[in-house]
Amino acid sequence: MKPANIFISRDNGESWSLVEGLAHHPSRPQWMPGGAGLTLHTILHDPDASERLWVGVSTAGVFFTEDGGQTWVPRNRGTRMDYAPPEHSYPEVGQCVHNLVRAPGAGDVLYQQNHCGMYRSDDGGQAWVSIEDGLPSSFGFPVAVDPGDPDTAWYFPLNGDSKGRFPPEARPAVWRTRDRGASWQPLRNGLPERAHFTVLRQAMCAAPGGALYFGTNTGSLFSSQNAGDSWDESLRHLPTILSVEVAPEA
Amino acid sequence: MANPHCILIGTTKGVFLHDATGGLSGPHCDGAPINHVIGDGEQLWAAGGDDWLGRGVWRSDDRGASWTRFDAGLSLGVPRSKGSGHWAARAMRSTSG
Repeated sequence: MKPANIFISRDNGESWSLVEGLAHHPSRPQWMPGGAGLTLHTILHDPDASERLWVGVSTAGVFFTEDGGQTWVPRNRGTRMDYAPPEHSYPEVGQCVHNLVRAPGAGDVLYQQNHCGMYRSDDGGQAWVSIEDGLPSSFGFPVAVDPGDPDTAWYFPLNGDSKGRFPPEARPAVWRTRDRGASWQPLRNGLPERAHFTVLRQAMCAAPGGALYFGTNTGSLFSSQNAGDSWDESLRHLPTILSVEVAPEA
Repeated sequence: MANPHCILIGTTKGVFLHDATGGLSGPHCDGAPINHVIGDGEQLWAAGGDDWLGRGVWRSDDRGASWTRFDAGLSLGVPRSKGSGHWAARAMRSTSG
């Protein structure tokens, strides 16, 4: 939401309260709006400890709480700002995080798509390492992780923030790593040979068993049941797709 | 083509559900822009709104057949909160599932 804030409900969603620990964070005067405004767009939580949360704010970066939102600390070490002077490329806050996912299993493995790079953290965001070598671009929005394999993740690189925000060379591909970002494989089988669509921030998700889905700003839903090895266009002509998720089994 | 899942799709014109039989329903949630829609057990949650509608959270207790909008407290300057529960922002996250 804009301006960036998080709310909590304890009555099944019927009423909400502002989480003031983030609203009044000491670094807040340094937070700057991104192209979509000052937005809090991503919330992760530890499934084994609901008081542990990560949020993504553009453009302030990643923040973490382990006391249910009363206090928050930045978690941006190792993520850069290419648009800042070189001596200010790695600040404590101010990064333009685009999306975060938490890998399954023990530990706090996170994957991040940033305005300036793709990253992985093995310690809940205390330190991030760049994993963009081998990808055709450092820019994009969505990231998904295999619910059954913390080493497997998917990104959808776009050609850049001011070049149209479509796939590099207009050749759509989901890029997959099976080794935590050490190497990458483009997955194009079944996708259009040429297209100028964008895949927005929350518009890609993975489900157990190799299911992977993404939606486009042109209203198409693409589906894969083999971890991205092949794709079908399941739907077309929807409105601009902002998010894609799989519903829990009935 | 049918998929083995029910897919929750948030769009600029409401929520659409693409079920495992290949069916499509929607737009739900008053046709409002929905930034994120998630499932949590039997319940579905959507968050969005715009400058005309105001921000809101929609909840479905019947797997998307009907939705109820809530907005109480979704403004700035309301009392401090503690504890666990559902978290709303531009995205949605439930801590109960």
